Amino acid sequence: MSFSALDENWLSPSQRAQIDSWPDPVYNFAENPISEDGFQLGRKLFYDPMLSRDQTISCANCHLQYTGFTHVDHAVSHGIEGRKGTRNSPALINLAWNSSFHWDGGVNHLDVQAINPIEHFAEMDNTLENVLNYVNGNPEYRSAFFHAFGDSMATSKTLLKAFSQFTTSLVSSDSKYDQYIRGEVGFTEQEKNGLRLFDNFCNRCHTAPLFNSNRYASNGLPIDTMYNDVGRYAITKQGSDSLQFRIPTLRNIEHTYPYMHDGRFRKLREVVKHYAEELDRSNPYLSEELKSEMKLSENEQKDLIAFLCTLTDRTFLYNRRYSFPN
Amino acid sequence: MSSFIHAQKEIQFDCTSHQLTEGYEISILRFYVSNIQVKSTDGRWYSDQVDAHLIDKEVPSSWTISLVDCPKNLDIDSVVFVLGTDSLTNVSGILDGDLDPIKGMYWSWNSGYINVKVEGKEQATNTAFEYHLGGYLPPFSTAREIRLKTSTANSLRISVDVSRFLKNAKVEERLEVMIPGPEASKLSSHLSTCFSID
Ligand code: HEC
Ligand code: HEC
Repeated sequence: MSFSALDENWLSPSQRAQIDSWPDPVYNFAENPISEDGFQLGRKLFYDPMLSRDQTISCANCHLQYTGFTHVDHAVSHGIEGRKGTRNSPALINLAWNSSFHWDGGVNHLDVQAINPIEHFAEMDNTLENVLNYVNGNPEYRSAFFHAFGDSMATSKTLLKAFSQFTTSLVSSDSKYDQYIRGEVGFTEQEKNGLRLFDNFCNRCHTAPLFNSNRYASNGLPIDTMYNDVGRYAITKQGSDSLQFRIPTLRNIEHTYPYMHDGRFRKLREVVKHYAEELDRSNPYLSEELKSEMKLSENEQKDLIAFLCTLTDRTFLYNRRYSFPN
Repeated sequence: MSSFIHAQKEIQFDCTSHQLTEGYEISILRFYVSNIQVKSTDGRWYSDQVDAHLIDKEVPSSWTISLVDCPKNLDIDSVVFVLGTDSLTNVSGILDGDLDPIKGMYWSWNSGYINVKVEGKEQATNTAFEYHLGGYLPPFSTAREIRLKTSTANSLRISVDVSRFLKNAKVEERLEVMIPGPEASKLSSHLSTCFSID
């Protein structure tokens, strides 16, 4: 990875060393140079419930750090006044490497993502204008915006870039898997076998080291009858995009349940069973990568899960820099 | 030359005159115009310095666009502009000025600008309509390049025949288009033929 292209204040020296061999991030830091003040401002905003219309819900309500910044136990997200969304809140991990956001990739740039939860009826149901009025009327924020962006008066641009200062910094690169690859720890036989199976069947879509792909695919889930979510098709209106969803990261997957865009699976066991036993290969939407036979014995399914658990990164989940600011 | 500095060429958009809206009660009419270029009768091109302008029926000051660098009394042969915003603008993240999402012309679930909003009702039938036209992904992109040749060389008054657009839209049997897709793309093509210059 070329660090010269990166902003020098992005991540700690140890995190930078850990991602040294990773691909370059997609996020253009030249347009939003990270600073400690900017990061702290983004963090403050992320944890501030005053951003929602009834002042009850912050970003962190649906994106909790200890569960990889997802909404643990909620199949679909819950916003203000208990309003229910239609999709599972995704993990916020290594977002700087993503070229699109949301399950259908409808959001094309991280800097415009936060408009969606702020204005979404079933999330914070507020307006960008109200949020700007709030931060611009608050002396603490005025000072924070001044330190971060040289102007105490927040604009849509500085407000949204502040969120990205925080969210691009949510980097997970110190899981047992990473330590194994760096030669710092060993894998058990079971984990090694799981890695081999993963390389054979999963890595073509959930590609290491990010364990995602900036592509859309169908992993063969039947359409959910409750929401009839057609995925990418809603964005492009192209038949070939029907039931295609973004290929999500599997980092910290042990903790980000429930799984899939509608949270239909509660356990990794169910996910692996879906791939190993329940895939309908005649499903016309099923992606090419899954069309060949995938035979996994019960033991192999367990091995695969043991491997998936090596993607848990406690340094990330418990990093104090990412938690509620005080 | 210095006498020209403060006298800039202006383009005026007319979308409110009676004959342009006849038969309809228009409650909202807002659209983006971007990448404006004018060509003088002696073949020189002048480009607008501002990326995009939001023209709003409710905001008279938005109807006139001043072209910095283009002298007021220059004889003009033609005007070229984009109705809407180009695809680069739509993937550039957070922008300011008229492109600030706070202007209410931005979709947050399908990132990109609403290039055109037309809302109101047909008076004779009291039928309400609502068009939010946008989308930059091929094949359903909605930005349309418009080229207009002037007849009087000096005036740049561009009329937008909203009535004609609405009649065409009615023929398409669409009273509501709120998302990117084939309908939005088709209606954008209709609308782009409703611009003319004096
Ligand atoms: C009510 C729950 C809720 C709240 C509050 C919320 N989010 Fe989300 N977030 C979601 C859901 C659900 C999605 C997925 C949306 C979709 O796919 O359509 C999501 C997606 C995201 C993504 C994209 C992740 C990816 O990989 O695609 C980011 C980034 C994000 N949210 C950040 C934020 C920020 C910043 C805030 C506060 C301004 C916030 N969220 C508030 C539920 C929420
Ligand atoms: C064709 C590409 C593809 C292959 C191969 C693939 N997946 Fe997936 N995976 C996806 C897509 C797309 C989703 C999201 C589907 C959805 O939500 O509708 C997904 C979702 C998941 C999720 C849920 C993630 C979350 O945050 O909810 C897990 C876990 C998962 N896959 C594990 C695996 C494992 C294990 C394998 C190998 C046996 C595998 N995948 C193979 C494309 C793929």
